[in-house]
Amino acid sequence: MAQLKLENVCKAYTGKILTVKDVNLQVNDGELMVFVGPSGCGKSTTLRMIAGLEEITSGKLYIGNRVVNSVTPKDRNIAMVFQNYALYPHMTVYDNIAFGLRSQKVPKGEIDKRVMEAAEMLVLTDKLQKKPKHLSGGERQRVAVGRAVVRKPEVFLFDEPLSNLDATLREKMRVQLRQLQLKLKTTVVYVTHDQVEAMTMGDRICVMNKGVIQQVDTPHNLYNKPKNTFVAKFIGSPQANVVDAQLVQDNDKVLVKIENSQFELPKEKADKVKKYVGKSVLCCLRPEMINHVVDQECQVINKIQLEVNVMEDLGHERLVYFPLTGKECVARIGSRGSIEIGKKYTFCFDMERCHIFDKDSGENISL
Amino acid sequence: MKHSLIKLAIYAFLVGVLLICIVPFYLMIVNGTRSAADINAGVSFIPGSYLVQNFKSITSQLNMFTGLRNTAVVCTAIMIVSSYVAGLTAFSIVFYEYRFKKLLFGIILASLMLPQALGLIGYFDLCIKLNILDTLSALIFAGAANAAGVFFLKQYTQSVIPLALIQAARVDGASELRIFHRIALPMMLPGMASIGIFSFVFNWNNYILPLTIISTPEKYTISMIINQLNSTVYFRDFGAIYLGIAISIIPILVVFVLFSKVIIKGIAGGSIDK
Amino acid sequence: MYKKINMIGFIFILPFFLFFLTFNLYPIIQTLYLSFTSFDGYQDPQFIGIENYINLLKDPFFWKAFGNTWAIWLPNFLLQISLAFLCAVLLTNIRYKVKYAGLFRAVFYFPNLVTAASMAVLFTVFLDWQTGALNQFLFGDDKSKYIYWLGKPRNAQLVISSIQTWMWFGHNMILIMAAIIGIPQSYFEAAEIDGASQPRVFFKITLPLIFPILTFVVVTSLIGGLQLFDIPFVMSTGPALQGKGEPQQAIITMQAFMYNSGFVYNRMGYAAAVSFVMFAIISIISVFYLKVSQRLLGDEK
Repeated sequence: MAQLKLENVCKAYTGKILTVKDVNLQVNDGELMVFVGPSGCGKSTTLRMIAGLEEITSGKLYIGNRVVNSVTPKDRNIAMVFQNYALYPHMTVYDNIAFGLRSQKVPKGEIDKRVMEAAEMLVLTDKLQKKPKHLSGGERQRVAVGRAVVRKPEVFLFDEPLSNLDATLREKMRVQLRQLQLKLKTTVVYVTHDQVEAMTMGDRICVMNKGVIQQVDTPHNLYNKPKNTFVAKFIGSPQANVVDAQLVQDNDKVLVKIENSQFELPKEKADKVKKYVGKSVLCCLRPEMINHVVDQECQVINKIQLEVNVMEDLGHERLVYFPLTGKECVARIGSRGSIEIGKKYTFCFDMERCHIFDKDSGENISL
Repeated sequence: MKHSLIKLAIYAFLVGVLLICIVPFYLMIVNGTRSAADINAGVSFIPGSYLVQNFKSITSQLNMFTGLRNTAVVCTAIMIVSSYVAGLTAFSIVFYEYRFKKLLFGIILASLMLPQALGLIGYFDLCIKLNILDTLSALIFAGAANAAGVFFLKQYTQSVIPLALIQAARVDGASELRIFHRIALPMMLPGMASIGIFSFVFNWNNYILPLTIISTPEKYTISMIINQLNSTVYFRDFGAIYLGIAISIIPILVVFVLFSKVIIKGIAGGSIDK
Repeated sequence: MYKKINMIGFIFILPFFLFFLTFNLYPIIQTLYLSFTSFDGYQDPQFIGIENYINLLKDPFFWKAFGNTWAIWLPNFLLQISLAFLCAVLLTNIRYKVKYAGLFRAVFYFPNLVTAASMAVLFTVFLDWQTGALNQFLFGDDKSKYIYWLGKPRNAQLVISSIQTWMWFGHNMILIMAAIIGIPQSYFEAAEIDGASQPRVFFKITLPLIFPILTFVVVTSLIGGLQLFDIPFVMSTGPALQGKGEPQQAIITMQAFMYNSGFVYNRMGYAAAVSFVMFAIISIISVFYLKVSQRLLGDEK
């Protein structure tokens, strides 16, 4: 089992634009690291550089203690599950799984043992003689995983393995994959565009945008301590509300002025953002940080009247949408208290948990 | 009413053309079973009873089966070698990048424009130099590089084998050659069968090349043997002649019956990607 | 890292080129070289510059062969394309659907598969003056009416044209059918709704849209036709025309002329020159085709 390390790794196609810019990352032994980000952010490219399917333009890649930049995929001791599974259509499930071992000239008895083990682990034992075209989507995915598992690699690479499955199957497989990884204790790099998948599966998550790493952290930290507006908005559903605001000094208090309302920042936060007083900033409030006053008491000073445009009733909670600074924002409120569209209600902002971002760089200045 | 009349006219025309296509073959078979005397006497669409005698006659005069065997050997060898090589070449072009690749492929494409017999004199000379004149090997070597096959297989491979499959195999630890033999080749097989059949038929029908290269009667290909029927020496035994021609095209008939769908699809398909 | 893998890929393409360069390309270059010599197949070639070419351009027999080739090709082409086109249209017609279209298509194609040399012998016997099946079929026992099909030069040429038509119309029909089927259905449906008559649909929709395939068919037919060898050669050396002078001369095509020069009269250098002159003619036509079709189709290739 090995660590994975990327040092200043860059990727440029035909010498022009950098698809991946200066990635520095360490993946610990046995960890499940998720690469997440929007389409085109460079996550798949980075994964493929780790796999050896793309050349690394500059920087170093370590698997374990070895620099593997020029090592061919087959000698890197990695296994990969492709987005479309890439199963060999003319081979049975057994042969698909055994292919890698046969290529490495593993003795026949050992091959059989390992294939049967993997098949059992993935509930494929009765499908071993079938060909991929006779399998369901979920079964094919398990074969792809089986093919990777059976080789006992140092690192597993998953390239959006669940994106071709329907929603219910996806949830099921998510749990199964995570259980599998915990059982095998192998280092895993997992690419997905779905932030829910990322949050539920990863030990740590690497958020990428436009080829640059935005933040690498645990799900908890990404959610509660986003380093910039991109991470704040990308992680969490519904999306966090990020609105224009002004920081105003009022005696020894720092107030956040949004439209015509003012909200008091708690002392700790106020100290951190002192330098920005008088300037325009961005204020970030997650939906659950905006509460309907019927629900709980809050400081009079952090109240605001907002007109509800849309309401979505999810049963256990409600999402109400309202305009603020010209943007459509959303609050998560409980099921008590009646809400009518078009009417104004009192809401309370939880300034303890809000974030303030620099307007130009998007950096979080309130951490 | 008018609709039915038009339809009737169309069918009549098409059936007429159909008959024109079939009748020569039908007559050929019928006449192969009649005696020369009967044939001289008049045309008939009913088979005769002279099949065995004609058969004896033709096989005693000509080495029909040697010719068939020679041609079969050459065509099968070419089919196997050229399909395999074309497969390897197409694989190389689709999944690898190297200098001059565009140029090399361009050369392959350009060679399609060259007339078939342009190198005939030169090939004759080459065979003398290599001491392979008058051998079946010379015929096989000439057909080993199938440029049209490479072109067709390239398109086929690109549509049938996704790059991810090759990459998965690389990650799995297979060498490039193993990837070709275990992954790509099995998947290219239908395409290779297609070009194999075309190549088989083309080489079976090839006349000018064997005519140039082969001089020993034992090594004659079937088209040369049939041409022997054409000389005045054998010419009067019509029954035998018809039967001989019929025998010479039996393999083609078999190929047609078995593979007509593949062949027709190949012609139509190959032309649309222009 | 991928350098090594791509190097292996490069090695994969080498077998083809090994065969190609040795057995296909070198012979062509050698033919070119020999065309400048007086090679006779036995002694070493003697360099004679462009003497072969000059003689060739002055050789009436060559020009006769040239003329013969066109005289055989043109009627064949006109009849064949019409027939192929007509059948293609009939078999792909939506308003008057034809059952068993697949069967028709397969049977029409069959003559294309058969060995041309065999067909040459077959038709030689069919068209035999005294005992041929065709004469018997047309005129019964009345031998005075029998036509000497291969007797007159022009007749012999037309006979070969007809056989060529018979052998190739199915092939080209399949190409045209593929092109017609390739036209999106919606065009025809729109025309149907607009109430367009069949001829109008044909000329305004079908024809323009299959134009690329038609040009392809024309050019390949031309290139193939210029290289015609098997049938004329076999027939001309056959008993029907053996020693018959004019008709025999009338069906010698350029390729047959080349073969005779090289392997009958042992003027290999000369034959090599013939090969290259034929190649030049074909190239000129191909280039001409590319230019014309590009202009007519815009920049589609």
